[in-house]
Amino acid sequence: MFKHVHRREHKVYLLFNEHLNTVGKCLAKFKEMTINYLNNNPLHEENALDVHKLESKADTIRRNIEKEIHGGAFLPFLREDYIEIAERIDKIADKAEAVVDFYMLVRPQIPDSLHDAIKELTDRTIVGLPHLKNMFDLLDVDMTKVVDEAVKVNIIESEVDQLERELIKNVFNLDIDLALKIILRELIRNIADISDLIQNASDRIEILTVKYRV
Amino acid sequence: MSSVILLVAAGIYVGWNIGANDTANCIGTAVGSGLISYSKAVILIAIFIILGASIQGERVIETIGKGIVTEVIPVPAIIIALLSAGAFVTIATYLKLPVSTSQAIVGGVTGVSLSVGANIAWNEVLSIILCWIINPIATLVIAYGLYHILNALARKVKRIRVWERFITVLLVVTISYMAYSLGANHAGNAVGPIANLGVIKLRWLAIIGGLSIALGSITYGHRVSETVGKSITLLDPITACAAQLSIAIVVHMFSILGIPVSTSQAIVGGVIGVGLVRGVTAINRSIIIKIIIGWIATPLISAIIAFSIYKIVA
Repeated sequence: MFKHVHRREHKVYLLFNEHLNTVGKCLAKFKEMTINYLNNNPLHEENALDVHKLESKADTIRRNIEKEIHGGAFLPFLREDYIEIAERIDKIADKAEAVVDFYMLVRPQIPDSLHDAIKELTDRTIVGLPHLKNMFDLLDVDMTKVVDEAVKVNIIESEVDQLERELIKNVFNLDIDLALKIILRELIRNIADISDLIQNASDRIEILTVKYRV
Repeated sequence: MSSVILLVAAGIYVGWNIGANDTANCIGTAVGSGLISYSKAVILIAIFIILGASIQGERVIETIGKGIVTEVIPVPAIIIALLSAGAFVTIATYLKLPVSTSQAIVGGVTGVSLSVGANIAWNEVLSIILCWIINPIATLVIAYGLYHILNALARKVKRIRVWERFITVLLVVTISYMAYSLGANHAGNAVGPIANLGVIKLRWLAIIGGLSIALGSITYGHRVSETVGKSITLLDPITACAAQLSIAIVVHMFSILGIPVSTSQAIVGGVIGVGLVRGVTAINRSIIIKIIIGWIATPLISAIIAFSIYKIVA
């Protein structure tokens, strides 16, 4: 009676795995693009295209996940949570794409003195994703350990917040045009948003495990 | 022969009403908490209602047909008892009130028997009323205990997909058992009064009762399901299963004893029992009060209607 439903659930888990891997690749390309952009390496344009392609792929996978869930995978009262998790994971790739677009369209002139800090911020903002993936994997291994990974994601998000604040402060202490300061602040905020979105997805996975514990 | 057909038709009408009204008690919590779709649940319960009625429905049929009134009463009186109870339940179903069909039929049989002037076994009636009081209390206690047992079992499961399967299996078992108990207990409500005449074998009456209840579930059971499942208290899967299973156990126990009890009363006991785990504030008290008023009013109104109609017709 329920065999086909369980098969469907297995398929959704495989799709989630693929989704997270794709978003992971998207963030890796985003980081590569940032470094190349800062180093004036023309490869950054190719990296930007890769980010677009990976974001689009993540979008397709998210739609497939939703299709399978609406088709009857999981208990009805959990479906909304799974769909919400997929959408939140997708938003991470969306944001990476948005930052890449910002670089490509606005072409901000980033002062050399900020390069290392921007690289560090970019590096830290994406570091929560492997923990997010661990959280999802743990759902099918040991749900009680999900919260440990969520704590790590929260710590990373706080660190990124701190870096973001310091960086914006530094930007406004520089002797550069106000318009550039505002543009750089926008860029920094967008980069830092990625860790916020990773945390949002992590929160939703935690909610799923809380439902189980009710 | 024509009077027998008329009686069976009246019995089917009552059975249909029971199915329409009590389907909510079987699947309301499960459907309301989003555990299973209404269409899947209603097919499952139709099968088990018929099984319950056919295998263990005879004891309650005997109590209603020959236990409450100790002598044979006229055919019109039986038809009036059945139709007055049935009509009352139809109105309640339309108004989305989960009233007790057991109380309506016991009230109807008692009222019409009083009107006829037949001997009523008052000790039997009183023991049935006593069981009506015990019914929700027993369900409450069992639901409270079952919640803790099921919750402890669920917590041992570490993988979310295994947990989901555990819940799914538990749900199917509880719904099926609940439907079985409903069939075993309520087939008597549908066709019990006909047994008073002794013209149809109890086994056949049980099967007719089961089929008519299943028909009511399929065709009209959706109306009350939402009220029971969502209005009383918000249920998570473990809570829903604990409530359902406790009701099934208690109603089945009374079916074995041949006592017609209310699944509506049992569900309220079950939902309060699991609600107590989370604190009394989780329970919607105004709905509970509304249901309690229904419990008292149902047998009384049904008895008065049956008594009055027979007096007028006679």
